[in-house]
Amino acid sequence: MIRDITIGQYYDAPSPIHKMDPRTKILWTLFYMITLFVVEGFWSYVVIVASTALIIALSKIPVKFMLRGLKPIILLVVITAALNLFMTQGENVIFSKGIFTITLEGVYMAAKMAVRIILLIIGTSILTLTTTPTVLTGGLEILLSPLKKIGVPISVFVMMVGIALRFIPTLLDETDKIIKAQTSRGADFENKNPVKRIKAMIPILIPLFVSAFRRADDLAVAMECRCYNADADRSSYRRFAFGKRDFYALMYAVIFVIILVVIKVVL
Amino acid sequence: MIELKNIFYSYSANSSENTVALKDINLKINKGEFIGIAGHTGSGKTTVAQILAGLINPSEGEIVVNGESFSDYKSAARALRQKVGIVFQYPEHQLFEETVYRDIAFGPKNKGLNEKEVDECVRKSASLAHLKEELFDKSPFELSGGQKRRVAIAGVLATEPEVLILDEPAAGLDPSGRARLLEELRRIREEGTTVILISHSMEDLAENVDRIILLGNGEKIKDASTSEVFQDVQSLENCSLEIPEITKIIKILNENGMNIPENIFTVEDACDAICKALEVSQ
Ligand SMILES: Nc1ncnc2c1ncn2[C@@H]1O[C@H](COP(=O)(O)OP(=O)(O)OP(=O)(O)O)[C@@H](O)[C@H]1O
Ligand SMILES: [Mg+2]
Repeated sequence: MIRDITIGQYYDAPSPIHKMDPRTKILWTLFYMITLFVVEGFWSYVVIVASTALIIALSKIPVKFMLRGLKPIILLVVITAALNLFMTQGENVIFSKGIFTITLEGVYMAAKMAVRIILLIIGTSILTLTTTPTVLTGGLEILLSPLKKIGVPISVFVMMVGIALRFIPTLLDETDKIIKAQTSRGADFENKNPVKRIKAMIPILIPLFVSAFRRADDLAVAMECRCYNADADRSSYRRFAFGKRDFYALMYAVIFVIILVVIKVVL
Repeated sequence: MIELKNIFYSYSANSSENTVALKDINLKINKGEFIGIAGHTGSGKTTVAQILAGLINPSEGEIVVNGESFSDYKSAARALRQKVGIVFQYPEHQLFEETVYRDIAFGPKNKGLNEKEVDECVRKSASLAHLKEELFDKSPFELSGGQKRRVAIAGVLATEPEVLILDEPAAGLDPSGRARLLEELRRIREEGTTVILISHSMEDLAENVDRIILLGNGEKIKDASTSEVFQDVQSLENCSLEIPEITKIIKILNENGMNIPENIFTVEDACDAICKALEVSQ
């Protein structure tokens, strides 16, 4: 149940995407997210969905695994879609009853938002699924390092991101264990009554927070003991180098943009 | 009372390969038994325990509870949860209430008992777990590690399970805490509860349980009475487990010319046997 959450987890597989330089993947994801929110029109989305599917296929991550990761955000997608469906004003009314009016524009808007959110989650999870947290933060640090010159504490930021990513699976495991322990004591997490359901979260959340704080405290003490200083000028044993794969990724991005521009001009 | 037939379980891990944690497990838990489960790290002990407690559903296999066979895992799990209580490794991490009393009362309250019955349950299980009533109004987070563990165990006992499973309950306790915990388990068992103890310590198993189930790489290697298991040195070695220290000492004594029966697994029995052997030789 709790293991369905795939955001921020790493999925090991022998694929070219896994072996790609993290910087390329981060930039690609950023580029993908921007594209997702600037493009308009049905055919552009068809192109984006198709290229996302191609990347998933290349990454050798099972589609089932990807879809499972979407489960926790279904509610968010549904609410967003519903809001857009009812709130969008338009000319072409297709349904109207009392205060509820559905317009054709509303339907388009709802579909667009739903697709955007789903693609956004898929796109970012491809990044984290194919990159281990240490490599990811390593890449992030290099990409952000120019900001150090103007005094932004990049090392601290990157360390925090790294620790956060590192702790997602640990805390999920912990949650899983706590849910099981409380289930065994007769806690009911499947009650239909929403108030009771929320109340049933308390026996999970409190031990989870307690353990998260304990872990954070332990880690802080351990780092302090080893004289960790975030601002130290340190080198890394990991060297990143752009290779053939990264060149292909760049080509892919160029072709992707050209196709989108062509669609925009032609249609 | 509970029977597992041809149970398989695999974790879908975050990689392209699945981990098969249990392969073709068959076992039977009878009423009133004191059973030990032993095996190397990663042999599947915790996984078996979770299936017995109805917390995870097997990938394949049949579960029989009180003679009734369930092919639908959901109802099997419900039946198991009503019967079985489980104390996980480091159970103190699941405490959440403001006071010790209320934490122990969580289970009985979920069962829908009224206030008086809940109170009875709490006091009874606290005394079984050697928990002083002075602690009832304290926050569980202010207690020492050992006391926290007692509260957690009392919390499970308060649900009055017919079968109590404990996963490495003595991990991280000092020797006297360990001895007291095992003593409590014996008492709980005398009250009529079936107890399943998962442990790495052969000494703890030797001194307490009647039957041992040996697991190795997700398979059941052996399932026999305690003395039978300890005589099968080969199987134990295959599971990277050892016979109790005291049995090893007896073997060494015998190699050096003494004549003591080798089916002795507790220190007290060894004492008697060595004394007897010395008398005979004089
Ligand atoms: N949550 C999980 N996800 C994936 N694999 C798991 C998970 N939990 C256990 N496993 C795997 O299942 C197998 C059995 O694990 P299990 O926890 O039952 O072992 P164990 O006998 O309890 O070990 P220990 O003595 O260390 O507690 C191991 O190979 C382990 O790697
Ligand atoms: Mg275990």
